[in-house]
Amino acid sequence: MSSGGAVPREGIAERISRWLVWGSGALLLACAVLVTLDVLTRKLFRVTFFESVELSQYAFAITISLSLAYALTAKTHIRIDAAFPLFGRKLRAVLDVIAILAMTGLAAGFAYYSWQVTAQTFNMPGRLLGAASASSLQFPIVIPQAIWAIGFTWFFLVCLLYLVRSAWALARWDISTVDALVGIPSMVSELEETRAELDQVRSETGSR
Amino acid sequence: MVILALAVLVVLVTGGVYIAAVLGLLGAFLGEFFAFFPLLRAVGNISWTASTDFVLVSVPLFILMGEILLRSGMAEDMFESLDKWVNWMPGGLMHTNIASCAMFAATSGSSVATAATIGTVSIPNIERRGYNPPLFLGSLAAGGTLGILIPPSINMIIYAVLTETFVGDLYLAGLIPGILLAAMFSVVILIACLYKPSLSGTRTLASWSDRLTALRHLIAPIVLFVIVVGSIYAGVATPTEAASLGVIGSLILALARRRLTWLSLLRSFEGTMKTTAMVMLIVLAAFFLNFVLTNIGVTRFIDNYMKGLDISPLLGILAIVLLYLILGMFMETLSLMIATLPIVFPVAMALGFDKVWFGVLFIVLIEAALITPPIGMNLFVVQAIREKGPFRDVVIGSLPFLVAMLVLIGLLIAFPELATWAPEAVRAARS
Repeated sequence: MSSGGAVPREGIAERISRWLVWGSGALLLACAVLVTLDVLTRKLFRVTFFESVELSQYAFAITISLSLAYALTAKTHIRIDAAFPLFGRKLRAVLDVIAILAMTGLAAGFAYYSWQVTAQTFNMPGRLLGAASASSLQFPIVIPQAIWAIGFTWFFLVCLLYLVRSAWALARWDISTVDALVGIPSMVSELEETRAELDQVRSETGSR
Repeated sequence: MVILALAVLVVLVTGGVYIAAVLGLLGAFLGEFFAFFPLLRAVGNISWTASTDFVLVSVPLFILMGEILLRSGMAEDMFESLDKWVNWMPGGLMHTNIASCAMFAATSGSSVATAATIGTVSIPNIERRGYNPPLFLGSLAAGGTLGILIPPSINMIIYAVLTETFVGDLYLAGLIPGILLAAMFSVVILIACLYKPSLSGTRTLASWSDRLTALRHLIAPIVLFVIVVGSIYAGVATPTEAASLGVIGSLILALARRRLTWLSLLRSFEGTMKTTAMVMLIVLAAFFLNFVLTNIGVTRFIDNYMKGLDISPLLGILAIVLLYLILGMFMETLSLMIATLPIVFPVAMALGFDKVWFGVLFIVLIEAALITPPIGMNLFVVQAIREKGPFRDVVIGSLPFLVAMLVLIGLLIAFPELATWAPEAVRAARS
C-alpha cells in the first residue's frame, strides 16, 4: 500500500465509532419522520402530536457528538495541507502528531464542559432529574445532555488513543504508521476513495 | 492583540492543525488572557445552545437527502430528459450538464454532491460522443457549484446561523443569481463552441414528441423542489421541516424505484454523519470564538476601525472579493466560510452592506473557491469520477466558468437588486 492516508485498520474503537454513526443516522431519519408527521398533522388537523421540534433538537445534539469519533477515524475533520508539499516527510509526521495533540485538547475541553453543563442542569430544581424543558413535554433535559456529553467523552478517548499510538510511532520514527493514523489524506488517496465510493454507488444502484 | 491572534491563526492553520482545534484553542487562549472574567466556563452552554439550534438540524437532513438522491437514480432520468431539450445548441451535452446541475441544485444543498451526481451520469459520454475533455469537465465542476447558490443550500444555512440572517430570505435572494449564473455558464459554452467548433462533440436533435414525453422525468425533481424550497418560500415550513419533507420525499422516490438497500442506507448514514460531525465541530468552535471576540471587544474594534478608515464601500468590497479569491485557492470551503466569517462579516456590515446581499455575494465567492486550484473540491470530485487523464484538464476547463462567476460578482455589486429584489417583493406581498 502507498502511504498517504490509508484509513487505519478497523479495531474495536473504530468499530464502536461506526456503530454509533449508524445509530445516529437512524435517529436522524426517525426525526425526519416525526417532523414530517407533525408538519402534515399541523396542516390537516391543526395539531401537532409529537413535539418533534424539541425532540429533534435533542437528537441533533446527540448525533453530532456521537459521530465526532467516526469522523476522526475516517479522516473527515479538516486540516489545511496547502503548505505541506514544502515540508519533508519527517516534519509532516511531527505536525501530524501536533495536530492530533491539539484535537485531543479541544476534545478534552468539550468533554469537560459538556459534563459541567449536564451537572448544572441536574442540580437545578425540578420534579425529576433536575431542570425540565419549558414545553408541554417537560422533558428532563439532563438525559439528552448526558448522552451528548458521553459522545464528547468518547471522542476525547478516541483522540487520546490516536495521540498515544501516533506519538509512540513517531518516537520510533515509524512515519508511515503516523501517516496512516493521523496523516492528511493525500489528494491521490482522496481521489481513490471518492472513486471507490462512486463505483460502489453505481454497482449498488445497478446503473451503467 | 488582533495582529498576534491573526499570526497564531495563520501559523496553526498552515501547520495543518485541525481547523476546529485552531478556532477552539484560539478562543480559549484569547478568553484566558484578554477577558476580564473567565469566558471558558461558557463553553458548555454555548455548545449546548448551538447543538440544539433548530435551524442547524436542517444541515444533516439536507445532506442525508442528497445521499439518498445520489443513490436513487433520479439524476440519470433527469439528465436524459433535459438532454432532449438543450442538446441542439453548439456545445451539445455541455449545456445538458449545466441544465442538469442547475436542476439538481434545486433539490440539493451541496456543490460537491451536485458535481458528483451529474458527473457520474455525464462523464462516460466524453469519449462516446467525442467531446473536448477540458471544457466538458469544466462545465461539470463549475455547474456543480450551483448546488450552494440555487436553494436549498447547506452553506447558506450555516451563513444564516452564524450571522443571524433569515434562511428564507437567503433562499429567495439566491434564486435569480443562481439562474443567471447557469445561463452565463451556457453562454460561455456557446461562445467557446462558436469560436472553436471542434470543442463540441456530436449533437443530437430530439423530436418534439420525444421532448414532451421526456418531461415526465422532470416531475420528481420539480415536486421535490416545490416541497422543499416552495414550502419555505410560502412560509408554511421552517428550513428543518422542509428538509425533513425532502428526506421523506427522496426516500419514497428511492423506494419506488427499488434503488434502496439496507447497505446503501447505512452508507448514506456514514456519509451524512461524518460530514455533519466535521461541520458542527467547526461550528461549535467558531461559536465559542465568536463569543470571545465579541466579549473582549474585537468585533467592536473592527467596526470602529473600519468606520475610522473611511474607505469607500466599493473599495472595501473589492478587497474582500480579492481576499476570498486568494484564500479560496488554498482553503477548503466550509472551513474557509466558518473560520473567516466572524471577522469578515462585521467588516462588511461596517461598510454598510445588506446582510442578505452579502450572503449571496459570499456564496458566489465560495463557489469560485470550489474551482480554483490547487485546492478545489469540485475539481477533485470531477477528476475522481473521470478516472484517467491529467488533472490539468479539469483545472483549465474550469477557468472560463470562473470568469462567468467574476462577471456575476461584478453584476451583484453594480445591481444589488439582483439579490435583494426577491426577498423584499415577497415580504411586501406578505404584509
